[in-house]
Amino acid sequence: MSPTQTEMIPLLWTVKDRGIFMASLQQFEESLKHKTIITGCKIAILSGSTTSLVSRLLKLFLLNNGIKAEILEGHFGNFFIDAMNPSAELIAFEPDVIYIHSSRVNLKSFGNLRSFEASDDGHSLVDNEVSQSLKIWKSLSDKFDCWVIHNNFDLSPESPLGNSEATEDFGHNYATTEINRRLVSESKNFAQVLIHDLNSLSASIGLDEWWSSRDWIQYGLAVSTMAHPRLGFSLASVITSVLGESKKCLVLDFDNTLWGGVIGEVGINGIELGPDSSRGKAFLEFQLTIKDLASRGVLIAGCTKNEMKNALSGLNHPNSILKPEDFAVIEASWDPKPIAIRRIIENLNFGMRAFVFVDDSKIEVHSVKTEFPEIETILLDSKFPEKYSSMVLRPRYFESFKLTKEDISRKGTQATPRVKKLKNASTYDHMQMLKDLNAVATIGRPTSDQLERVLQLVNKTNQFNLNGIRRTPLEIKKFAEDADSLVLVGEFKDDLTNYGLTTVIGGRFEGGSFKVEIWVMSCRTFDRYLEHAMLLALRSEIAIESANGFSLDFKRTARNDYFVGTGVALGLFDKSITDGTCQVDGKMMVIPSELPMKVVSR
Amino acid sequence: MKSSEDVLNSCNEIFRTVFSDTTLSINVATSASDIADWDSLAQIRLLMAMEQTFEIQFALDEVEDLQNVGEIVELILVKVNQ
Repeated sequence: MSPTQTEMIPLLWTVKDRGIFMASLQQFEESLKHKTIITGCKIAILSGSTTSLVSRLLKLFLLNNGIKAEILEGHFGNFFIDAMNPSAELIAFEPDVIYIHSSRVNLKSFGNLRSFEASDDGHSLVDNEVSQSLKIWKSLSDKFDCWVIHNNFDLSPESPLGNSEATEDFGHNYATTEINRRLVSESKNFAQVLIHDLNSLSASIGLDEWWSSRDWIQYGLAVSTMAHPRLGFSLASVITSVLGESKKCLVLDFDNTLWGGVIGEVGINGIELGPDSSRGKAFLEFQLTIKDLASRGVLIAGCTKNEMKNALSGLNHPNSILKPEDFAVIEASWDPKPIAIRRIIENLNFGMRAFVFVDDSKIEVHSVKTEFPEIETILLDSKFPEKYSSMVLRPRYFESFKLTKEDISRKGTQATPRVKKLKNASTYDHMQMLKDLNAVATIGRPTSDQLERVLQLVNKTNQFNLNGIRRTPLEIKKFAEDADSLVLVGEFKDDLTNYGLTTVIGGRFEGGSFKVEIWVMSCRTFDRYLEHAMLLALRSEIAIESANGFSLDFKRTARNDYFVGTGVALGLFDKSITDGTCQVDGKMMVIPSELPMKVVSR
Repeated sequence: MKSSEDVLNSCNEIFRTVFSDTTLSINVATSASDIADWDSLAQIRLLMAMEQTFEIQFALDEVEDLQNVGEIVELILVKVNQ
């Protein structure tokens, strides 16, 4: 599988990782050889310094976005001449984008200690620098019908006069800041011109890493080798955006993504969201980020394995920044996520490439990535919710080169969440996806070491819970050890995750029958057919001692709708089940002939 | 003390990564003319990877006239054993 953006991106953020990235550049290029191409793009790079490295990186990152770039590089340092008097080669090239690779090394006015505000000829040095850019833009706008992307200027890592460089009108940093401000303002008069914000990029990396005197002297690189991957990535994001290939919709999981905890398990008062804990604050911060994206025109969709009432109650939590009306659509169901996402796609009517899917579950991300290779996915690590915002923002999926009023108001037009279920048009083969994960369920009687986990599961699980009855350690111990009772536990792992012990089923022999009094499963292994495997294991165990079916000691709780739905699907009972003992005919159970896992008896 | 063989072996790994060729085998006589992709950019990436791997810094004049792998190994060896 070729590396996705999210797999390359983690290597862009530290010097060490960028070193690995640069060393492995050719491997990344080769891995993208068979990438599906959406569109091509001809880019002319006018040089203010060495361009060969940025050219190569730009090609790589664009290709990663499905854009095949053809690049024409101008001669070293020749950007002004090439812009004012384009060569026949450049004209014949007919670029879609002209990128002017200039930076502070191209600022001509610097070097004299005099005011940037007023000089001898009546023009300030700032004026002179800005007017050179204006000449370039005018010339290129007259001669080419294409985008012109021009860097603003990075600051110098060295300050000869220290702080004064930023505060006095003779200072380099003072002048650079002023030039940058003027360039943005002037660029509004040129419809084709976009300023590439080299200044923020260099600040983000840190000027000491951004600039390397050696790379400048030895290779003519105005941006250090180590900082180059970020430059290439940033430019590719802008170009992807001008080509209309930015993402448009962010599809978000809810539990452990928008708040900490599983709302169906812990209830509205149990989720982590709010100023009272560090984790609660981290989830709030992430919600702010999402709200900010929504206010900038990114469509937000919800895709959660939840009862709709639970999903909405989370969004209606008093601390929740995101409210139901911030979502263009909310899919809350127990369907596999690829099926739910297909409904979202049909509902919003964008191409698949417009979507980014975010979830903290490896299997959900894996299943979506496998079913929809065109959808970008982000796997969050719920241990570190403070990293969520940068995980979502750093890939620059939602780059917008000019924000329109329509972008800002887009949210409003779709404000009512569409919660109704659309027909399922999916051909998605969930069973096959599960089989490909090589899952192994290990089922057997609990060891003494496992009793604590059994107790925890029995007393904390709500959604998949036979009756919600809480047990003491002694009760659990007796269940596990008494001759007239039986407890089975299931451990589960697959190629993606080792889930550990996630399910318990237990009960007592009464007369010739077996009564299930405990049956719980963590939501981590919902939708994996583990409940089927547990039933088969139970049937096999009790068959030794009881030839008949078995009964369930059922009780409906405020949160065990999921259990009821699963029990109905398993053929154990029907929807109208009432509290009390429910006799099960083992022959009526609906269990696939082949489960998507290897079951090991322990 | 690192031996020239140690350094050569580590360099071989770097060459394999940079040129994306797991079968590549270099020796002291290997030069840019032996590896098709060894251009100026590759040279930058090689030297950068070597600096990171061996935790050394090349001086400006040291890397200007390197002719082959043997000279690179010799240069690294002096630095790591200083």
